[in-house]
Amino acid sequence: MLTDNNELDLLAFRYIADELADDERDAFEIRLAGDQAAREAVARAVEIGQAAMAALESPALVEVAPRESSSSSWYTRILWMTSGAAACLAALVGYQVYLSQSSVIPSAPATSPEIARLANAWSDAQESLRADRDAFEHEASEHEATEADLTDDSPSSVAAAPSLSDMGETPSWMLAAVGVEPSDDDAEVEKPAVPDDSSN
Amino acid sequence: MSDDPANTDQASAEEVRIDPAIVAALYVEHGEELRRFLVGVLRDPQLAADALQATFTKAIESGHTTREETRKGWLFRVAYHEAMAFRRRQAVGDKVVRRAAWTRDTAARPADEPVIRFEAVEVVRQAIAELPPEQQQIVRMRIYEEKTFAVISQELQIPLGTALGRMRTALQRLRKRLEELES
Repeated sequence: MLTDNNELDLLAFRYIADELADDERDAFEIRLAGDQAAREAVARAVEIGQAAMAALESPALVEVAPRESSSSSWYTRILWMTSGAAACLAALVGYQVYLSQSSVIPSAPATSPEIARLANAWSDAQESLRADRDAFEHEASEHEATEADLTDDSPSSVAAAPSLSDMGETPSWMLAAVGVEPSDDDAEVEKPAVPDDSSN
Repeated sequence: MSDDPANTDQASAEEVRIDPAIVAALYVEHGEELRRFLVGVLRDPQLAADALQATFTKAIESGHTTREETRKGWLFRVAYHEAMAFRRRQAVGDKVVRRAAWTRDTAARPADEPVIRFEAVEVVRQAIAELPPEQQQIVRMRIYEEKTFAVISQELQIPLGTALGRMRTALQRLRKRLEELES
């Protein structure tokens, strides 16, 4: 079984590396339609490939790894909470737009319970961010000199901590979804993409 | 309450729609793995982000028809079909697929997307450093220098199967370290 997994990992790696012949690639993509282990192997191969590329591009980062790990773990959790709420709200807003454009189902109110609940989730995540922002920035400032080295050496695929001020602002598409007019400073409303194809 | 059948249908659709909190939890739990899978299929982070959004739109629309224990597989299946639909609709074809999923272009991601976990990079860096030299060499040449296995085997004057075997063993070790990080 372990050997099977290793072979599958190598096959998935060769797939994402574009190292399969056309017939092999077609066969593997057919397999992906119904084989969850193969799909997870592809995801794993991408993670290994991207992480290895980032690691090989920036050997200097090794020196600051132990210090970064704790705040990075904390920040990743907050980032994921916020991203999850935002992405689901984007998907829901997209679905509402889809419904509103449908000739069969009448448009839903702009502030449906789902939107309100996701907006609340977004708001909660924002409050978490604000509450922890000072602690995060304080910790970061303690290592300011080393941070500068890190920024200088960071590869493009490994981002430094994204702007908290950016994270804290309510996206304009969310304001539009809950019926609040964005201020002049807000960016143009971004409409989420909704596929026409309903097949799955 | 309205007697309009259309309004009744709308109300029914909302009643059976999956709880948004469940969808949010699914995104937190599986979103990043799904995104990586989509990058592997589409080789384009922006297309992958669009396909991921379409996948979760489907989850909101049809997720209530799935059982909790099968939702991960269902999400991946939907994501696969969305990716294939994106490829057909956008006619990206070979010009996008014919490149590695970790190249500098594909590693650049939309501004609102999460990034590669720093911990994962560090774990992989340490794991690569602990590999035997001949495996390190294969990993570096294939991933960083972006040489094909055929070219690697020629340059190192080893059989192609040997190059693939070394890569397979290296992948096994890197995967094990990432699994330890997850646990």
